Amino acid sequence: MRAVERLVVVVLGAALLVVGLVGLVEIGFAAADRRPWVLPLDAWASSVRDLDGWSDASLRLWAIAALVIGAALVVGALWPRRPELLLLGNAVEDHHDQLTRRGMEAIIEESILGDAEIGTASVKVGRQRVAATVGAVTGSEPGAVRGRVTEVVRDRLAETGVVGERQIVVEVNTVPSRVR
Amino acid sequence: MTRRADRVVIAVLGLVLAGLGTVLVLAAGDVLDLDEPATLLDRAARSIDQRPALWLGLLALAAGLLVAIGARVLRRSLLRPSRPAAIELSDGPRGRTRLEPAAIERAVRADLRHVDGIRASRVTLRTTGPRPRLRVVLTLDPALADVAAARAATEAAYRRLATCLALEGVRADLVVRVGKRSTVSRVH
Repeated sequence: MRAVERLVVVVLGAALLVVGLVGLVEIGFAAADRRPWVLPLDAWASSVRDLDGWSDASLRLWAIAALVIGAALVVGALWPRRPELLLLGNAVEDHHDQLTRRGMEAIIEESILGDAEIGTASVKVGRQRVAATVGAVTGSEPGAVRGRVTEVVRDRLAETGVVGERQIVVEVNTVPSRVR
Repeated sequence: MTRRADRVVIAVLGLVLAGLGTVLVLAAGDVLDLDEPATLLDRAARSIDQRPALWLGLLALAAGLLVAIGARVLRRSLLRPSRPAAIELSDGPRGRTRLEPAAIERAVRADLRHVDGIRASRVTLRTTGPRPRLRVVLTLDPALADVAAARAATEAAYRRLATCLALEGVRADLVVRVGKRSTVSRVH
């Protein structure tokens, strides 16, 4: 997602730059009473005059395309996502310490997998909560596993010093053997 | 460019597109009472002919704004921040002693290399002066990942650097990452 965002921004920046530069050149040509340089302004004006009013099919198509793409970009940009970096507390003055979210998840998963009755672990750290999905081996007591995992998650969050309170949600599934 | 800045740029583009699309859709549905496109175009052309200096000036301003925004977005997205100048350690009658940023970065990296649990480090000097700013990215071994110990090790490295170069202190941005496990799968 980050790569897509960067690509969109780079393409947008390049487009703005090119449009602005071409626009400046064309304005210069117009100020000097010369014909347009690259933009087919006469053809565009002719196309506008040929339109069948605002309800012209081609104009409506462009309008819907702009509306859909614009709305998709706004929703994509503003959709809440999990943080990439988690602030670490108790930093010295003028020091700003952060832990990557994936790093926090890896640390918690590694600790959970230290439990002999757990075969798989997947942790997702959000702004408000930490969700852990574990695969407990057949025969283990799900309630006890849930309690141990909750404790491990709480301990790791406290040890690393990640700032903020998070609700801990643990889902326990059963796996046939301990494979990881 | 930060992720948040990327999103703001994308959201602004989306709002402009969606706004334009909405106006056109409303006009097509006769909800907005606009003159026909050809009439608007002729009126705009007449207005530009009557006051060319004003309109060309405004259009040039808008185009210049687009160039400035585009250049800024591209520069922040594609270019790395420039490296600061060398730190001047002393300047006396016998000569001047300067230290290149790379030397400071290497020194801090070397200091962190032998710390247990730190698999790799990347150090960048952002600014110089009596309190230089460093950006440090640590990659921890997942099996030995002790974030508190890694932070303590970097604090010690900052202190040694400050003492060694007689600095007032070091400002620092630390990012701790955890590397991937070397073993892909294990069966017990």
